[in-house]
Order: sequence, then structure tokens, then C-alpha cells
Amino acid sequence: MNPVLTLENVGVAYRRGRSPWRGEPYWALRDVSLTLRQGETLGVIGRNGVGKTTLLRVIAGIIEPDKGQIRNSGVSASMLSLQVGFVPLLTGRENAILSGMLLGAPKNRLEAHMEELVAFAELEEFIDEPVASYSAGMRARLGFSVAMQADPDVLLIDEVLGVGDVAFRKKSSDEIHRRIRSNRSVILVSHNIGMMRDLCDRVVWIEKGVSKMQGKAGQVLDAYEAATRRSS
Amino acid sequence: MTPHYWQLILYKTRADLKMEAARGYMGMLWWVLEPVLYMGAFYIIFAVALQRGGENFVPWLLTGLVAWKWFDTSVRMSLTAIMSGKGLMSQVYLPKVFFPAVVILKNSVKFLVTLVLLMAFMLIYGLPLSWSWLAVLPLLGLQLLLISGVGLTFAALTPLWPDLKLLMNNVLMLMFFLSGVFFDVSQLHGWLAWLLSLNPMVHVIQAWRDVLLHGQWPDMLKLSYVLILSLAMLALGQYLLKRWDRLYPRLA
Repeated sequence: MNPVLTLENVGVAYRRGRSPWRGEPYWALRDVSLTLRQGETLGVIGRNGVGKTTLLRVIAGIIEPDKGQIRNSGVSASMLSLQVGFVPLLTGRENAILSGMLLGAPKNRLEAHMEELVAFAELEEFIDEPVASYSAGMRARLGFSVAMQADPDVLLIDEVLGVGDVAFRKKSSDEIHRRIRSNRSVILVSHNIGMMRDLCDRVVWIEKGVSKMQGKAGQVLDAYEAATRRSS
Repeated sequence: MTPHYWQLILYKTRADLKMEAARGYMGMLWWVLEPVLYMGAFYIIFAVALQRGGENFVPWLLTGLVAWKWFDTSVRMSLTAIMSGKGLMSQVYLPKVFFPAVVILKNSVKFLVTLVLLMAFMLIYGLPLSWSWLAVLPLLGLQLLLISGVGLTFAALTPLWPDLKLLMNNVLMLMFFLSGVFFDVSQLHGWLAWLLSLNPMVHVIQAWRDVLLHGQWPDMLKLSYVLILSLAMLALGQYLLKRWDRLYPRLA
């Protein structure tokens, strides 16, 4: 299968102090290489604070690495983010369009899919009310449904979590699972080893900012589990 | 920039305007009320209380004030535009011109309301309607270009040199007093006049007065200087925003 995205020896340094140029560098990512192939789900595993969020930001094109290379075959990549740019005083419908556009979805597509979006969020009666009047659960439902309208070539997911009340949590997490299993290219960051075994084709293991191992999900996860057990 | 981002800038501008209106009970009425109160205050102080100035002093002063206010508010808000968008830009990629562009457009819509009110006031005041009012549209375009040039450039620089914000506060105040809002620049001579003529807002304000009050076309030579300066700054601003596009999300 064709690689859609390749990272080669990527490193990202944050600087201590205020200046982005001077100050002692702190390497959040030191040396990460990985390849994402067309249609596969690639898992990223590692302890907290090994730079997984920074890695997703680099892949999404939000920040630029200080060293190494990213090769992109012309695909768009963006993070699954909920409630991006929500403005409480605007109505649910307006927020859906604004937030959806921020996530990269074209306005006319959002308008065309609005009914479906509202139905998924179960907000038919409230969609023209200001979001300020929504409960946290309603807001979460709207945020999730909007995020599902964003349609990047490569979907970047930081933990698969259902949102909202119990029923919607199941529905939303099922929907994400469905998307991950579909033919889309996905990069999935998670701590849940069982779920990664289930969802990922391949996994890359990152330790202290360095990609330590990359390969078939089962092999990498076994090695990771063995290493974690040894150290704890 | 792709059409998608233009659409997004327009939608976000509309959303911000709507949000401001939704904040108070009087809503969009404030767009009219605020400039009326602003201009009314100056009218009362200068025309009623002090009885200052010669003929047409109040429309003359108001023209300078509202044109200045459009420039001043837009530039001030551009200074902080990118850093206020930090949360957003760390979640999704956005071309950074988005942030100052929204601020500038929002202020421009408000200025349009003010301008219509000012023109209505002038007619009520008894100034004649003149052919020169046709120059309002190109003049609007020119000042928008100037604001965008200055706004984008300083929007790009301020996140990296936060001291610029304080510096610009003082520079803008100085420019305000030196832009001829309160006095007639054409009365000055010598090096002082030359120094003042470097300030593009001097010529823009002069042009607004020529067009709206004196029934004459503005000085094209001076406006050409403003145009060239605006285009140069616009290019510089866009260049800097592009250059540091992926650096801003890292700043604390």
C-alpha cells in the first residue's frame, strides 16, 4: 500500500523563556520516524508526556518540526477536535457551520448535511436556540456531530472517547469505531492497549520523544507491555 | 488563500458582529447609538458649550474623528488578534491572516454605519450634497487597504515582540494628535509640515474632509503615497504572517 504520510527523524524543540529563538531548547520530540499507509489505522503508544500531542500537531500542520522531514503525498490531516470555536451566544445551527468550517468542512456541505447533523446530535428542537442555553451534554452532542462532518484524508485521534450522557457516549464511540474501521487513514493515540489491539493495523511506540519500534500492532504492543511490566 | 478561508473570515465576522449585538438587550441598536453618543459628545462640547471654531467646525472635527477611530480601533485590535486566537490555532490549522482580517472587517462594518450617520448629520446640518461624495467609495477602499497593511504587519510582529503593544499604544496616541484631527495641517509650514506629511492618516483625513465638506476631489498625489505605502505594508504583513505561520501556535 502507498504511504500517504512519512515522518523522518522529526524533532520539535520548545524554548525555555519567552523568545522562540533563543533560550535553552527542550526537545519534546527527539527523533520520530513513522509511515502511514493508505487506508490503514496506525496507533501511537507511549507513556504520558512523551510528546504524543506535539506529534499530532506536527502531523496536522499546526506546528513545524525543528528537525527532520515530513513527506505528505498531498493529503489533508486534521485532529478530531470537539466544540472548536464555539460561541455561546450564537445558535446551535450557526455554531455548527462556524465550527465545521474551522475544521475544514465547506460551508455548502455543512448546510446540505445540517438536518442529518442535527438528527445525530438529537437537538431538533433546540438547534435554533443559543448554545449558551444548552446543557453540557447537549453541547457535547453538537460538538461531536459537527466534528463528524469534517472529512480530512487523514484523521488524527487523541483517545477515542464517547461524549455526552450514557446513551450518546455509546453512540458516539460506535461512530468513531466505525470510521476508524472504514477505509480511511487514521492515526490513533491512546493508552488503551486492548482497544489498540482491536483497532490498529500497525503501531508505533514512542519513548522519551524517540520512535522506538514500529510494526504489526500485536508485536509492538506485546513488546510495549513487556517493557512496562518490567519497569513497574 | 483558498475561497474556503475567505468564506470562513466572512462568516466569523458576521458571527462576531451578531455576538456583540446579542450581548446586550439593545442589540444592534448599539451600532447606531454608540457613534451617535460619540459624535454627540463632541458636538455638545465644541458647538454648544465652547462655541468654538468657525463655520462647519463640528462636521470638520467629526469627519476627522470617525476616520481616525476606524483606523485606531482596527490597528489596536489587530495587535492582540493572533494571541487571542491561541486556543483555536492549537486545535486546527488556520492561515494566521484569519485573525486580524476578522477584526478589521468587523470594525469596518461598524465604521460604515458611523459614516452613514455622519453623512446624514451633514445633510441635516445644511451642508450641500456634492458630486465629490462619489469619491467616498474609493476612499473607503483606500483607508481599508491602509488599515489592513498596518494591521496585518503589526498583528504579525506583536506576538513575537510583545513590547510592541505598549509602544504602539503610545505611537497611536502621538499619531492621533499629529494626524490633523484637531487642527488644519495645511496651515503648517517647513520641516514640521514635512514630518507630519509622512503620517498617511493626515492625507486620508484631509481627503475625507475634501470629499465630504469642501465638495472637491482629494489630492491624488498624496493619496498615491498612501496607496503605495498601504500596498507595501500589506505585502510585508502577509509575508511575515506566512513566514511565522507555524511558529505562533508555539508561543506562550
